[in-house]
Amino acid sequence: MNNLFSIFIGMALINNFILTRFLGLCPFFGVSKKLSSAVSMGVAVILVMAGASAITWVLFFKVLVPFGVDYMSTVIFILVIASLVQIVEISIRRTNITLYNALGIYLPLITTNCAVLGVTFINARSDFTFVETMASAFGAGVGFTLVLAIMSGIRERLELADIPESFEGVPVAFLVAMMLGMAFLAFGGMV
Amino acid sequence: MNKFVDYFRNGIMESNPVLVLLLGLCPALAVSTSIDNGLGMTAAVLFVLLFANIIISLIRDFIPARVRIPVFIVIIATLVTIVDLSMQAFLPDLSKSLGIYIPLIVVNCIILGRAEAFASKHKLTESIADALGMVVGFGIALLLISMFRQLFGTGKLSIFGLQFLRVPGLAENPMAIFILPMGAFLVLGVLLAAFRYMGVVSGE
Amino acid sequence: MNKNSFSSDIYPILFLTIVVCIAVVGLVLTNSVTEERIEEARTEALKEILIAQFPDMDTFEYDEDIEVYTIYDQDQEIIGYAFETEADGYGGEIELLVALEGTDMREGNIIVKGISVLFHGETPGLGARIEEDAFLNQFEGTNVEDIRLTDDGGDIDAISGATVSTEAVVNTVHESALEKAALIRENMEVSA
Repeated sequence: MNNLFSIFIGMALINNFILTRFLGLCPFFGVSKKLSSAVSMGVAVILVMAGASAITWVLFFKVLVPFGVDYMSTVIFILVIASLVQIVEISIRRTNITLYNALGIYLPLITTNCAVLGVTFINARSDFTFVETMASAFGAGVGFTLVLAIMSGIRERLELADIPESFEGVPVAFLVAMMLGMAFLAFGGMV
Repeated sequence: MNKFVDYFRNGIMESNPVLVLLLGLCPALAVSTSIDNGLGMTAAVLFVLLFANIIISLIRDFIPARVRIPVFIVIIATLVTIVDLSMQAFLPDLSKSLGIYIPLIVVNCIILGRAEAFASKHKLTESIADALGMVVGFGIALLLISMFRQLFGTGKLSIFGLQFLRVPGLAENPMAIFILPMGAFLVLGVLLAAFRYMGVVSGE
Repeated sequence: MNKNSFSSDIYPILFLTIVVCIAVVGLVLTNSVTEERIEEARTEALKEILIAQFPDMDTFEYDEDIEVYTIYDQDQEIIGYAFETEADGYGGEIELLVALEGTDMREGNIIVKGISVLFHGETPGLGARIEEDAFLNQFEGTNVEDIRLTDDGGDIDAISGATVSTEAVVNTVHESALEKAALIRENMEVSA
């Protein structure tokens, strides 16, 4: 139990996907301008990460490794994620149109979100059990959403701030990310 | 031939993938702790992007529109795996320090973006020019970032173990924050602002 | 018309299948070329790490049951043992290789020959200083009983500003060396 908690905290806070591993930066700078869209994106990412981690764990440890073809993992993992995103998109569109309107436009973006593929690679390389994999996937997703939400809140305020012209927009967002990273450094040593 | 030069230049200047389009940020930031890593990543991206553009440009008339993206993904992922395996075999140290960021080239937005936006609509020579321009642009950005990070973060500059600059004082007490992940955000943020100030790239 | 819709449905799938087949063939070929070389590169890297601790090493053997490397010199005499272990540092796991002298592994006779840091995620300038020779050299030729921080009555000085990382390394080396030494001794008794 202790171990699962430390995996979760490690993925969410200590080695945060955005701030220390630089995974999922494209949506980070694209979507983090408004709090509401940041949270929707985050939820979509958590769902896809959990699904993708579960499927790729089974495929990797039950199929690829026993047959000695684990070098195919890159190709297989990305195909799993791409199809999963398609399936989630179609099923949400058919069942819940409000949810689709909220999440729909972010779903295709997730296929090329390095955070999702990244978490599957990290799980495979860490030799996690299935339960540990799920803890790691949720940790990664929650950490991603948390930082995305914090960042969007800060950026909403930055709109009103008086920033030197050349720093407006993306450059200042990078500097904010740096400071967030320093703040998150304090989570180190928690577990 | 003129067009060739134009497309090549475009990748370095007007649509520099990292500094202007803000694509491929994950690898640009994650592996830029040293110049060696930056060059290694650029070489890997060169191989994948060049061959992806060549293959896709050659078969562009036969690709059915509906399975376009899956076909691109399979081609790119295969090329990435070839790079990954070759690096593990022949450059094990580099492969270890680049870690998961080599297989993650699959989702590098530059590559899928160029396949979709350029190679699937252009002739072979133009696609090659585009790939080379993009990679050189990517490489310049990576070189700049990793140079600053290595210089301030270790007080030394070296390529492949060959040290050519050592700043007295800084080398004994380097500013470790530049090697930390935060340092990457700091360097890229300041670089972007500096380029805007000098008018090299335009703001939003 | 029927035929048309058939071909428009089939063609994309057929095309994708062909692409996947070519990709698989390409990967299998690449793997067959690189597989052996990757294995060799891994062994070479491991050998380098072991030689750094045992300059006289000629060959080594890996016992999968107790996860210990036995190191032999040119005369096929055992000159020591080595094993990999993990410590919980400040920024995640610290992977270590611990080398033991080739003693009889009786209590009080377990001597650490040296340690190497294989991987760590510690903060540069602080925890990452566990990689510095000034810290690592303290382990060389030290009896496992003395592998404790000086505050706890041992021989190892902590690095200021890196308490978590140094404590993790020192305690892990102490505990894992005792544990592995007992296993090695058990093996020796069985074979004797």
